[in-house]
Formats: sequence, structure tokens, C-alpha cells
Amino acid sequence: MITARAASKWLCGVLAAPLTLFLGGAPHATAHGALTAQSTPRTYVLIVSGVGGDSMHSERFTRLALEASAALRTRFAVEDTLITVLAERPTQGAGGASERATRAAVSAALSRIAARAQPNERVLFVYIGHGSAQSGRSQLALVGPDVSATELAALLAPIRAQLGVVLAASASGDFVRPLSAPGRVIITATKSGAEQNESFFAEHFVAALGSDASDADKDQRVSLLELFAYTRKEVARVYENSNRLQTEHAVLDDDGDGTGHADASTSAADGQLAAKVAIARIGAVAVTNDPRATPFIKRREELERAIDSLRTRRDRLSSAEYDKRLEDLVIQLARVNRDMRQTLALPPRKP
Amino acid sequence: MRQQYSRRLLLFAALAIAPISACAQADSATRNQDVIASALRAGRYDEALSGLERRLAANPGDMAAARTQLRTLLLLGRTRDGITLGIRHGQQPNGAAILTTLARLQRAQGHDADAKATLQRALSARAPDSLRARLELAILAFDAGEIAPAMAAFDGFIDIFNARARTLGAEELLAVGIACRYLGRDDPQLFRDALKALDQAVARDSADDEASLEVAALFLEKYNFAEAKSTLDPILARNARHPRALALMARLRRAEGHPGEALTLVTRAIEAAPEHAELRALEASVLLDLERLDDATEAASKALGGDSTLATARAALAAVQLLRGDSSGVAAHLQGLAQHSPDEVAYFSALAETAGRNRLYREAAGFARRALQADSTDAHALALLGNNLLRIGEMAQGRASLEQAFKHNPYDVWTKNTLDLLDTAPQYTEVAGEHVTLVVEKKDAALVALYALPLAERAFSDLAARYKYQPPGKIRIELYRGHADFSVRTVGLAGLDALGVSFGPVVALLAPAARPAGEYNWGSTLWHELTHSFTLGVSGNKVPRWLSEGLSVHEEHRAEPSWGADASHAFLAAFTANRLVPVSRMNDGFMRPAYPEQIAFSYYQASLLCEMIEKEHGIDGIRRMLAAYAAGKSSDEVFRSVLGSEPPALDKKFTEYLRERFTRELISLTTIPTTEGSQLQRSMERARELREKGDTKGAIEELIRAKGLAPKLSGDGSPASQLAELYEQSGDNRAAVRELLEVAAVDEDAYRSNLKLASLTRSLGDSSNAIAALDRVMYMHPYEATTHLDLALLSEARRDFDRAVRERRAVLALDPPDVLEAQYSLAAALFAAGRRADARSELLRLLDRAPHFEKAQELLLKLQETPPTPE
Repeated sequence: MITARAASKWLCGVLAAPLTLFLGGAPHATAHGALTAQSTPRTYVLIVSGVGGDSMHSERFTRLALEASAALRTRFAVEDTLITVLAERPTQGAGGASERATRAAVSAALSRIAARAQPNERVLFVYIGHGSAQSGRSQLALVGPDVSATELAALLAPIRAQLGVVLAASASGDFVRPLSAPGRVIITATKSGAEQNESFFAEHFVAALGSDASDADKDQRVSLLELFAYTRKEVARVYENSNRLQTEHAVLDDDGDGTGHADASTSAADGQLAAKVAIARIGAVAVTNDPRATPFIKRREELERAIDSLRTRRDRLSSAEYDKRLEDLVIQLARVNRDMRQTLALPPRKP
Repeated sequence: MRQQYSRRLLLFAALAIAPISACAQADSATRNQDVIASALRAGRYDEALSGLERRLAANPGDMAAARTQLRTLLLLGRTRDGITLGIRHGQQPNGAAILTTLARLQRAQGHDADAKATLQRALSARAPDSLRARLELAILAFDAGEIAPAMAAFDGFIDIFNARARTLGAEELLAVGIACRYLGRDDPQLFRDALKALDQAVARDSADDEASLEVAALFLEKYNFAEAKSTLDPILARNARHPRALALMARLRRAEGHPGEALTLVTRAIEAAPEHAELRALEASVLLDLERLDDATEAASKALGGDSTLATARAALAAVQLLRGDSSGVAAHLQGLAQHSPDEVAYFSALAETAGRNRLYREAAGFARRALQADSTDAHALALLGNNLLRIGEMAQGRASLEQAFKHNPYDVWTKNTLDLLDTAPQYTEVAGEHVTLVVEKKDAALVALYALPLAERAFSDLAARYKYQPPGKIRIELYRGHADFSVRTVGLAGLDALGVSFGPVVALLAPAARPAGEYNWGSTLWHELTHSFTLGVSGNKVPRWLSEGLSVHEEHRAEPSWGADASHAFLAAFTANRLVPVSRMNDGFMRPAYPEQIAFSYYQASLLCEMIEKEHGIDGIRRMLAAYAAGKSSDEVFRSVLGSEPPALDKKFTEYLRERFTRELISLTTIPTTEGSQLQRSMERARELREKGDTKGAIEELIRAKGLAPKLSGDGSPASQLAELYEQSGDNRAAVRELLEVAAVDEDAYRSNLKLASLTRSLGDSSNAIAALDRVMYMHPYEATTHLDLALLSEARRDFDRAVRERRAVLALDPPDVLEAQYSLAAALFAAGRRADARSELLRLLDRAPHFEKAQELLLKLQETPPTPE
């Protein structure tokens, strides 16, 4: 099992961990010991934009893949060199698609990542495109021969690092079982191969990567569970707003049992690992490297632990008493943050 | 189709004539039979009866002819003639063949004792239709309150059916079916058997309509109108004068809420059978629905002249007193009941039904209870009680009564639908205000209550002051997302063509989500229905429909000028063409529309009459009118006593009022040739072509012309809204705003125009008009988060923090992608509004979920460190 502490830094990129600490750890997993960049595991990313079948879909899949790449680079500080993008056609510019999305290219990219990524590092595989399921065979549409679920499982098998797989494709639900393994997070746009209609998952997953809204608890880190929850909710909204029956139901599996669940959460079997797998935002790395921040960070961690402790005693307190104590702690937290900003001469937060 | 029809006719001829032809030998006799059959088939009853008379004169012992004659007289309600002839025929050596029919005539006349004796004679003489005779005896026992022996007798028909189903004739199967229908009272499954037997009767003799009519009656009784109609349609297609088919169709249309059509049908039935007492009683009930009390009295009296025991006619007379507010008159009727009609269930059920149809729901529940005192298991009375209790907001008792009704009759579609609807109650929540309680879908409640509750409270206060009336309790306002649910709540069935309904203490209307954006203004509907609650309440539910609707539309206009009906071109054209109903007979415009559009015109026309009355007599005049109606006065009396006008003078005055009020519009109307409609169409078409060619200037000129042709034509896509688009495209935003303001001023559904207006006025720095436009939008479609966000920002910029708080709450209610951010914005707005406790509470809820949320921490800190602003 991956510990909460290690998992909490997953997918953050080299510079993200100190920020996470500066801004506070996850509610139930305050990250004490990851102050230095050296302790931050690297994340390797492979984004595959599948074959579109027509110009509209080709352009859409490629655009989404490039937007995902950009969000990971700019918002999550993942190094360019760690991101590989494969698309129907190669694209220009930083973070663009280096090669065509053929099975050979996918295989080669995954082999390279498997060779480089260490067990304490992370790999994120994102597929955006068409999926299909016929006669029990599920496939992702690539340039040339498609890749089946069992073939993809075989390609991913050599990876020793912690693995997250996001299949933003129709009919992708049947990939869960072959890809599922302990310590892996598998997200698919549909619950089964039978959901073959065009999916809206990719748009909203990429939007989640690029939006503050996906940081549901405002801890400045976005976990895979938060990304999943945000995307699932927004996809449902698309159908509700257009008064249509929902034809895709995304699922998440992270307990290795091969069954994904739509209601993944921190209190369910699926969702606990994904909740600890957080993505940090870039922007305040310097702060954590400033030794003047240390006492503030320590004090803040104390207060965060006190809030965690208070929450566990909620049932024993009256509502008013709970609010009062919470208010006291949060006010102290706010003062610490304000004092740290003043001490370090950081600009005040914009409301 | 044609082939089948021909076959049916042949069968009819064969079966109708068979008994006669058995006795006929000569060709002329056969021709005579054909003539009689043809006349009966076509509803030429006089001709048929003459033919039968001739046959019987030639052969008095022709019992088949005699029986056909008596059955025809029974169908026509000529019971006296029938009894006289029946007694004579019964004295023939083979007279037993007609005794059962004679007994039916006697029962129809109310001579139950005679009927019983005749039936016993029929049985002793082993009459060929002795099974029917047994049935008639059981019915007589049932009507006399001898329920147990009657039910035992009905029960015997099941054994007969089970033993001899294959050999039973159509008439016998009909008797079994009717018996099963009675048995259904104790075991609802027997209704299915009734239908089975009746269907077999129809199959065995498809030419005899009696079984089909029983099927239709059964469907009608169960509120299965579609099946009832499909059963009646072919009968009426064959014979448009069939009195019973017409009566059933009239009952159907009445139940569907079309009393005007019902009256037309029952009038046709009476033309065919003028002496039919039950038809007169039905006519009286329909006239009561039409609020024609004097005519109803006359019809009921005629009915009782034919059958003095007719419970429905007697109930109609009592209902007249009830609707006139004459409680002593009602009491006198009830006291004298025992000596006239022993069938108290039918009497009180009819009274309950009439009271309910005339909006006297509390009284209806009371009468239903009286019916249940006579028979506590009567499913119809239980359903009447339940539905009327639900209409006055007594939900638990109403439901319990409906559960009981359903137990006794699970085939009553109205009851089943209503119970199904009540089963969805867990999906709804109640939001209590000071004077109203909203009942709204849980998932919609947080959003809808933000607007509906203040609006309803505002309406309540405004209307209470105007009508000097305080409803006795909170008004229950139910909002339904599904039109079918709303319809079931209102009439027990899907398909009601309405947006809202007021029962007085209970209002039901479509929820904002029920219709797409721009197709429904729920705010105006709510105001309209609440006005009904006041006008019903202040008049003791005796306000006539025209005044209640007129005041509701009038009050809509007062609340928000763009709400409610407006002077459409079609309305003004109808006025100039003299096609509006005279206001002295305003109710006819609602109850007996002469053409389909007349109902819609009548709403607006009635509101204009109310407007005129208020201008002349003030709101006090309207209050005095309502008080006069409460005292049971007729419209003519109210016009005289309150308005000081004879009805014709009022008509004249109103016509002059309209001419003056719409002077400008009427001038443009009169200068437009009769082909004006096509001119407008051509103008709009030319504008479209010019737009497509990119000739904005030309298109604008054409649209200005179109607008001149139909200045009141409003809505998205109207000349004004298109002009706005073109002005905006050409950069003249101020002109665009001017057009959009015109649209917004008259069209309560101008969703897109109001959004555009908000956007343009905002860009011009006119936040006041932008806010007003977005406020209007909320009563059309409050489901767009961006609209709320825009309104919140505009309001915050104008330091209108109360509105901003509402809008921030609305954003949150829509479950935005970033819930915490929305919650933070709400807390900030609450803080800015000076609502520190609410702001703190909101922040703590937020920080409990996300203690790391720095902005929220800082706001909480600011809240603590900033002293409250002194009041």
C-alpha cells in the first residue's frame, strides 16, 4: 500500500511539494516531512489523443490533449521533459504532440517511462478519444491498429511507479478490470463497454485540470478524486441541462478489485487512494524555501492538527460550541497566514 | 373500415328486426321492419314509433314490436307513455315478454313498488328475459337500501355466468355485466368482470348499443375518459341523436371541464328526448357549472316533473340555493329530502360534485361526508371527500379518504392518479413564509423559494390590503415540475390546458422548470392564482368566473406591467368585428366560448372591465361587487346595485371605454386593409431578405414599417426585437435598448430580449435597467448561473447588497462547479449587507469543509476585527 504521506505528493512535479506544505496538507494527512525538493517524486505523463475519424473529432481530441498538457505544465509545474503527447498528427510548439498516436508509439513511450520511472515516482496515462467494445473486446482508437484493454494492460505492466490511468473515451468502462491493480488509480469515462455514445468526459476533465473550481476543499491541491468528482458532476450537468438521459457514467477504481464505482469518496472503498493523490498549484515555491517561513508553517500545521482534532470531537459538542472553537482556530490560522505574508512581504490575497 | 361498417349495419338490422320478422310473413311487413330499423338507427324515433304503432295495431300480440316500442320510449324518457302502453301490452296472452321492460319504465318513473310487482309477475310467468328481471329486482332492493340481499342477488349472476357463459345471449351477458358493476362496490376486482361480461355482450350482439353504453358509463365512472370516448364515438357516428350516448358524452365533456360543450350535447339529447327526466337533471347540473342558476332551477324542476324521486335533480335545486348563498333554502331542501328521495348517497354525492365544481370545496367535503353517513363504503363519495379535502389543504385527511376510496374502487383513475401523486410527496419540501407555505421539489427548493416566497408574500400583503381580506390560514402554494403532476393535482388526470389553479386555500401551478426558457412566466402565474385565492375568499367562493379571472389579470398588470395578457392585434380585431362577448354576459366568454380564441380574449376583456370599474368606482367598488356576489346576487343585480348600470348600459359604456383606451391602436387597425396579416408577413419576409443581403438600413426601415402594422406584436422575433438586433449590429446600442425596452414592457415571456437588454444597458453603464431586466428574467427562467452572477455583480456595484445576497444564494442553489467559491461570495455579500451573523455562519460552514481556504479565513478575520456599523 502507498502511504498517505507519499501519495499526497503524487503527480505534483518537483516543485510542488513545498507549496503543498506551505499551503497546508490534506485535511487528514498533514505532510510534515516533505519540505525539500529532493523528497518530491517525479511524475511522468503520457497523453494520447486518439484517432478522430473526422476532422471535427480529430481537432477536438488534439486540442484537449494539448490543453491538458499545458495545464499540467503551467498549473501543476510538471516539467516539459516528463510530458509526452501523442496525437493523430504531430503538432508544433512546447508541450505539443511529438509523434503520431500509433500503437507502436504508445508502446515505445510507455517503455521509456517504465525504464525511467522509479517505484517511488508516478506515472499518469491519459487517453482522449474514441473507445469501443465489441464481442467482449474493448479498444482505444489509435492511428493504425487500435490497442485493446489486455494489450494496454501488458504495456503498462512494466511500470514500477505508482500509476494513474484516465481513459476519457466512450465505452471505456470495460478497461477497469484488466488495468486494475493495488496502488493504481483507474478512471474511465463510462461504467462499461456498453456505454458507447460520444462522451463529454474529456472536456470536463481537461477543464478540471485548468480550473480552481476542481480544488473542492481549497487546500491548493487537486487530488485525482477531486478531478474525478468535478468531471463527473459537470458531465451529469450537461445531460440534465439539455434534458437528455445520461449515457455515460464515469467510474473510479483505486482499491485494486477491478470494479469501478461512480460514488467514489474518501469514505468508500474506492476513492481513498485517489483522495490522497494530490496535484499542487504552482506560485509560491519561493516562500517555502525562505527560512523565515518555517515558524509560521509549523504554527499553521499545529492549528491544522487542532482543527482535525476538533472535527473528530464534533459529535460531543453543541453546534454553537463547535462553531466557536472552529472560529477560534480558523482566526488563529488566518492571523498566521497574514503575519507570514507581512513578514515575507508577500502581496495580500485578492478576495 | 367501410366494409366493417356495413357488416355492423346488417347485424343491427338483423338483430333489431329479428323478433319482429319472426312474426312477419308478407313483403310489406318486411319493408315496414326495414323502415323501423332504419329510423331507429338514424335516431328518427318518432318515425320508428309510428311504424311500431302501426305494426301493433295490425297485430296487438306482436310482443317483439311491443318490446321495441317500450325500450324506445324508455330511451326517450317517455316513461308515462311507456307505462300506459306496457300495461296494455302486458295484458296480452304472451304479455310476459314485455313485463321486465315495463318494470324498467316504472322504475325510471320512480314507481318502485309498481316495478317490483311487475318484475315478480314477469318471473312467475317465466318471461323470456327473466334474468334481466332478476337484475332489476336486485337493483330495486339496492336502491331501497336493502344492500345485503341485493348484493346476494347480484352475486348469483356470477354463478350463472360461470355455468352458462357460452350459451348466454347478449341481453343476459349485459345483465351479468351490470350485476358485476354493482358487486364491484365490495370487491373492486368485479369491475374487471363487469367489463368482461359487457365486452362479451357487445361481441355477441354488436348492433345493440346498450352493452356498449354500459361499457362507456363504466369507463366514465372510473374517469377513463379516453376509453369512454372511443366507446361512444362510433355509437354517435351511427346515431347522432342517441339520447343516452349524447348524455354520456355530455357528462364526459363536463368532467373534462368543458361545460359549454356539455350543454350543447345535453341540449341535443333533450331535443331527441324532451321528456327524459334524467337528461333534464343532467342539464340542470351543467347549467349550474355555467353559473346559470335560474335556468338550472327550471331544468331541475322539469326533471322532477318527470321523476319526482330523481336525486340529482333534487340536488341541483339545493345547489341553486347553495350557490345563491341561501343557507336556509339549502336547509329546507335537506329537511324535505326524506319524503322525496331515499337515495341519499346519490343526492349528497351530486350536491358535493356540484359544490366542488363551483369552487365550494369545503361545502363539497361536507356533502360528501353526508353521503358517507348513508353509505360509508361508497367509493365515489369517499373520492369526492378526499379530493375536496386536498383542495382546501387538508392533506392527511384527504389522503386517508382517497386511500379508502381506492380500496373500494381501484379503477377510479382520478383517485389512483392523485394517490400516485401524493406518493411523490417525499420528493417535495415545504418552505414556510409568514402567510404562505411553498411546496416545492426538494432539488428546486433552495432556488425557487428565493423568488417565490418573497413574491408570494408581497402579493399576499398587496392583495390583503386591496381586498380588505385576510385568508383564514396560510395559503399552500404547490409548484409542480411536471405538467402531468400539476394536471392530476387539479383535475385528477393528465392533459389540463392550464398553468395554474387556485382552490382558495391551495394554489397549484407549474414550477419554473416546467417549461423551457421564454415559454412561461411563473411569477405572473403565481400572482394570478393568488389573486383568485383572495377573490374566492372574500366572496365566499361565489365570485363568478369572469370577475375572478378579470381581477387576476388586472392584478397581474398592477404588479408588473409586462405581466398578463395584452391588447393583441387579434383582440382588437375581434373587438372591431363585434366578436367579443358583451360584458353583461362576460361569463359566457369563459364557459361557452363561441370560437376557440374567445376564452383567451375573455381573460383580457374581463381584466379591462375590471380596470374600467376600478377607474370609475375605485377598488371599493370592486370590493362591493365581491360582497354582493357573496350575498348570492346575480351578475345583473350586481351591475345594477353596485355599478348603477343596467346590463345593456354597461355593455355600451365598456365599448366606449375600449374605443377611448385603444384610440391609437384602433386607428392603425382601421387604416390597415383586411389583408393586413399578410402585409405584416410580407414586410417581415422582406426584412429577412434584406438582412440576408446585408442591407441593414433597408431591413430596419422594413421592420419599422412592420412594427407600425402591429405595434403590439411582441416577443422574441417580433419587429421590435429584430430592430434591436439590427441596431446593435450597426453599433447603435441606445436605439437597440429603446426597442428592447418596448418588448420587455409588454411581453412577460421575452427571455432573450431581457437578457440582451441587460447586456446592452450594462455596457452603456445603465445598471438600473440592467438590474430590472435581469430581475424580470428570474420570473421566466431562474436556472442560469451566469445570469445570477451578472445580477449579483451589478447589485454589488450599486451597493444593493440585499439583492446581491439573493443572487449569491441563487448561484449556490444551482450547485455550481466551484461550490466553496460561491459560498465565499455569498458570505462576502452578507458581510457587505451588514448581516454579520449570517456571514459568520456561512463562513464557518465553508471553513468547516475547507479550513485551508485562505480567502475565507481572511474574511472571517475581517469580520471579527471590523466593528459593526452603527444602525
